This record gives sequence, C-alpha cells and structure tokens, in this order.
Amino acid sequence: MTDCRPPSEIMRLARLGSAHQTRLSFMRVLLRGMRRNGWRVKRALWQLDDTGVGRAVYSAEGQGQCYSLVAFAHDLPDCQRSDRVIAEAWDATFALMDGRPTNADLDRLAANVPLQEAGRVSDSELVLSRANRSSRLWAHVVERLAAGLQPDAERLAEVGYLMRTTAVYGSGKFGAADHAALAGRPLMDGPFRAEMLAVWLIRAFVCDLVEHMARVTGGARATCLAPALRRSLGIGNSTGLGMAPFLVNHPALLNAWIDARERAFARVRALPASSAGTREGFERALKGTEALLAGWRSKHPKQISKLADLKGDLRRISGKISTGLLERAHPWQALWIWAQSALTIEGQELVLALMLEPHGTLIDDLAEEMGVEEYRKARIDGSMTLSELSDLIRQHFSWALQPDYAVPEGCARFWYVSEAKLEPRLGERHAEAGADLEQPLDIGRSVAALAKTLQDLPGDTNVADFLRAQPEHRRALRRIQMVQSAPYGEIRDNLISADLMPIDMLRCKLAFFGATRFDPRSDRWVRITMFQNAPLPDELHQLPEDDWCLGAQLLPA
Amino acid sequence: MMATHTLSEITATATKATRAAGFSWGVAEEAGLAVRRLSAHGLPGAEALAVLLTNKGASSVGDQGPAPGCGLSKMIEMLDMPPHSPAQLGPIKAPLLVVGFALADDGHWTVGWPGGAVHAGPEGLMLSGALPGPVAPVSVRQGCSTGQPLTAHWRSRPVAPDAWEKLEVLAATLLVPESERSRTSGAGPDA
Repeated sequence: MTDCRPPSEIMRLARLGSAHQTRLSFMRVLLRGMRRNGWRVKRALWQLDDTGVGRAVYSAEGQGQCYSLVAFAHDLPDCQRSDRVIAEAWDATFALMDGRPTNADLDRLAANVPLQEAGRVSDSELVLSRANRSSRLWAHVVERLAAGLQPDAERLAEVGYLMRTTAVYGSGKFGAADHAALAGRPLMDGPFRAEMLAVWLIRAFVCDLVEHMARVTGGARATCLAPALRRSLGIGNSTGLGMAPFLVNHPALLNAWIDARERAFARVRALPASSAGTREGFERALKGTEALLAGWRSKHPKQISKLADLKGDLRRISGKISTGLLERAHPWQALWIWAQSALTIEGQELVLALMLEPHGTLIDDLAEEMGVEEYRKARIDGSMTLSELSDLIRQHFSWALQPDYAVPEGCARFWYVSEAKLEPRLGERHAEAGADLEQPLDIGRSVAALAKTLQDLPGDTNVADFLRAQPEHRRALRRIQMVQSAPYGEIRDNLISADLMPIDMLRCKLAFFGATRFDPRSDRWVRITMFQNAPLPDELHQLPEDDWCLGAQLLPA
Repeated sequence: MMATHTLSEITATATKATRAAGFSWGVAEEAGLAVRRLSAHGLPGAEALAVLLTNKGASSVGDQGPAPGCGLSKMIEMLDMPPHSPAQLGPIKAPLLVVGFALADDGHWTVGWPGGAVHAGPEGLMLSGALPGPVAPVSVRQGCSTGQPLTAHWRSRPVAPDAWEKLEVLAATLLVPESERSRTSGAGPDA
C-alpha cells in the first residue's frame, strides 16, 4: 500500500499556497453529480426592465430536491462599484433558496437581499451573495452583441468574467440555514455544495443579463453570445482576509479535504501500470494546462515568479513523459519521485492534480468523504497524561517549537476583527493597538507556551486536572489532541510571523473550491475565476462530463 | 414576533461573549458548543449563559472565582472527566449549562435539580418538570428514563431578546476600533 504524504511535508504554507484545483474540487464534484443524476435548471422568472433592473429566478431540480437562485439586478452608479466586502451597493444581489419561492418569498427577499449584511434572510435560504460588473468588459460585450457582433475573444480571455462576486455567505450567516439543513441530502450534503451551486447559477444569470441589455440596446439587430464565448466566461471573485481564518477555525474539515486528496493521490501512485486511456487523459490534461496557463495573468511579483516556474515545470513534465515513463511499471509513483526532485513546489502540486485527472473511477468516491460533523470531534480527552501530551507535541508540533516568538519578527502580526468592518484583519503588533483583543490564530505560539509550561509539571498528572488549574491552555491542548484524529488539520507554520503571506491560506481553500487563475493583488487578497469553461445549465447534459477545468475546450478535438 | 437566530450565530455569539467576559478562548469554545447543543434541543442555553456572564461575581474556570462554582466550569470538568458515580453539585449558577456535558457524551445521563430533570443520550433529550432557575443544586447520574426524546434540529430559533442583547454587547467588546493605520493596511493595499 502506498503511503499518503506526511502532514509535515504538505501542511506548510508554501505548499498549501501552491495548491491547484483537482477533480475532487467542489465545483467539479457538484457539476459531475448534477450531470450524472439528471439535474435540470430552468429559468422560472425573468422580470427585468429596459434599464436592466428587476428580478429573476433560476431553479435547479434533481434527486428529489429543488434549489432556486433568486437574483436582483440593480442600477449601480459607477462611483459606487467596489470589490471590498464592506461596500453597501452592488450591481446584482442573490439568495439561494431551498425550494421554489412564492410571491411572498420574493417580496421578503427583495426587501432584504439587496441590503446584504444589513438585511436578514430566513432559514429557507442557504446562500447570500452579490456581484459587480467588470465595467469595461460589460460595456464592450453589450455594445458588440447589440450590433449583432460577437465580443472580442481576446478581451474576454484577458478578464475571464463579466461579473465578480465580492462575498458568498453560507451556513448560518445573516439568518440563512445552517449547513446541517443539507444533512443526508444526496449530492448537496458536502462541503460548499450549496455555495458552488449558487455561483454556477449566478453565472447563468449574468450571461442572460448581458444578452438582455444587448437586446434592449440593439433591438432586432442584437445577437446572443456564441456558446464557446459564453462558456469561456466564469464568475470572478475577490477574496480577502475574511476567508483566511476559516482553515484555522475548522481543523477537522481541513483535515477531511486534505486527507481525501492525499488518499486519492496514494491510490493513483499505487497503480502497477497505466492504461492507454489514463496516459492519454494525463497528456490531454497536461496540454490543456499549457493552454490555460497562457491566459493566467498576474501583476503580483510572487505570482509572476510562480507562473514562470510553472511554465518551466510544464516543459520538464512534457519532456519526461516523452521518454515513455508512463508505459513502465509503477508509472505514477515513478513520475512523482521524479517530480519531487525536478520541479518547483508549484509544479509538484500541479503534477498531483494532473495525475488525479484521468483516474475518476478510482478516486471520485473520495469526494463524498470531504465533509465532517465537526462538533463531535472537538472533545478533550481528560484522562491523557501530561507525559502523553508532551509526546504528541514532540511528534507532531516541532514546527511550532522552532520559531522564536519573543523576537519582533516571530510575533509581528496579530489577527483581529475590525469594529468598523466586522471582518478579520491583520495588524502589526508592534505598531498598532488592539493586540489585547487578538483572535486565537496563533496556534504555533500557543502550543509552544503550553510545551514550556509542561516542562515543570509531573508527567503523570492528567489533562483534566491540568486544565482545571490552567484553563488558558485549553485551546492549544485541544488542537494537540486533535492531531490524532485529524493529522492534516493544522497549518504547520507561524501565522503571526512577519513573513506570513495570507494569500497562501486563501489559495489553499480556493483550490479546493475549484478556482483557477489565481491573481494576488497584494499579500492579503486575491482575484480568482470560478466555473470558467464549465457548461452553462442548458449544456450540462450535452457536453462531455467534467472536462472543462483543465482547458479541454482550448484544445483541438 | 421574536427574532430568530441560527445555530451558527448562537454558537459564534456565545463563544465571543464568553471570551469577552474574561474566559480563555478554549473555555469560550466549550461555552459556545454547549449553548449550541442546548439550543439545538430547544433548551434556553443562550439565556443561561447570558445570566452567568453578566452576573458579577460569576465563578469562572479561568479566575479564582468564588464558590459555589458555575454551570460552565462544572460542565467542562465533566466533559474532561465524566463522573464515575452520581455527583451532587451546588448550588451552582447557570445549572442548565451542565446539561451541555450530557448532550456531548455518548452515554445516557440524567441531570436533575429541584423540580425538574433532563434525561439525555445520543438519541436526544427529555425534559421532565421545570427548567432550573439561575442558581440551583444539580445532581448528575448515569442512565435515564425511557420515553420519546426530543432530537436536535438545525432550524433557527428565538432567543430571549434581552439575553441576546447582553451576549452581543459583550461580544462586541472583542472588536478592534479602526485606526489610521488599520484603515490603510488592515485588509491590505492593492498591488
């Protein structure tokens, strides 16, 4: 049996921040499931006026379930368009509802959804979201379609989307239903399935809206987007620090995601031989990635460097494959052994994604093991002795003991929640006030403090007695015990150090979503694209299954 | 109509309020989880916590608080080391919070107080008699009576407005006021 990669290797930020989407990513799992289970989407309501203001409903039905995206389109002056999560007005606002909305539901949502955080939805809703236009591209597309012409494909490719979401809230936020509402429901009882469904339906709405505006402008001359161009447009997203604490605050869930991916990777590496089909699938994914890379642009120095590395790595992978490596015994393990010494971390993580790609029948079942009932995993074992606890620290938390948290660089940052924005922020400990209200993301430092305390205590004392006397160590102690059931649950880096790059945390999570075209705009926020090249709802059952994410459409048939 | 709150909101607000009241983050997490479990079974956990946190002199695990202790500290002690024999506690403040232990455990437990008791197990919870007042002696023993238990449910539920306000006011004290520097760099400048 091939071992999974150890947490000490893969839970470092440098590697988590180089993650790529895989066929276990949530967007892909959702669309595969919808296709296989015969889901259908219909536009149940379209009430938009000639200014593009109004409401629409898209209902997705399958496996005895129905979810409806209720969309509100607004007339937003250019000066109010902001990607920051703290904005107060948007081009469009959305709620994903469980079931079909009645007229009363629509009126209730119309009074609340456009207000977003300032409004209140009910537990009949699952997701609350909003989006803004890409102004220049929107105007270009409307103008061209209105004239009966297609928009410039190069300009579309450059941006990749017509609207970008600035928040997608789910699971109990602002009154929406808790994730537990979806427990036991086929396909939808998995991480972020409802949120991904909402974004996919938002993409359909955006395409319809731009064509609506073209018809208003151009009348009979207007045309629709060509299917291939339509498909090339994803939904953009700007993601900032609000997302970063999630991975720290949900260790059991993070463990489930990484564990499923790593078990999939181990299954593939354990194969004694490859088939012609899997070799072809791998090479097709490789070529598709090359094509996708051509459209992946960034102005951020770190990402520019990573993209250059990736291009070099792709050439090296192609060269290695051309030697016939995949036709030999244990080809995937051989490829991985080679990749570890020949490629950058970014390239290595891409090889993982490429190796999973042609092995759907072998690994797709693991997508159903990526959810977890977190609250049952959090209990402390009070009977453990401090000696046993110290052993766990030595075995699994050496990374936490290494940094010097007393020097300014070792604790330069602190995480807090802003009073003005009600959002997570990162402060400079030695230059700003507020560190006394720090959020507990300093796992490494807390574990180190606990380890130091344990040095002076008898090893046969049990944890229950210790915590009764020193409850300030309770959170760190829980994390240490969790490593036994959730070895991939901890980011093994100092999250308050001067050189922390929060975008690494964002990229890890977004890759699991299935995002592409990571474009960091600073060390703290990133733009991405979701569902680019994916089928629109009316094409779900016409196009090949699940070949959209690695650029299959960009390749010759 | 009384406003409703989701279990996520109840858990988050209870956790933050407990931290803001001076307890460690680890203890605050236990408070949030206990209130979540109680609320999911239809019991007024948030209300009990609000009374405890806003009642000066409440005993905490984190400080050297006065006897006779409180439901939160006793609940945590039992979570860490379930009693092997029937236990008599108290009188203690916020006695209802002790039920949070019984709801987290895989076994069957009866948590009683004068005039009422909760029988809890993995399949749910049964309340007999009245809920406890703000201070009461509590008994905890293994085993529970038979009957049709109330199972946990995920739907939003009302929380007494005054209790909710108390928790929210406390939780808000964890927020960091804006400064000139945080305005420009807290979320990161554009590239």
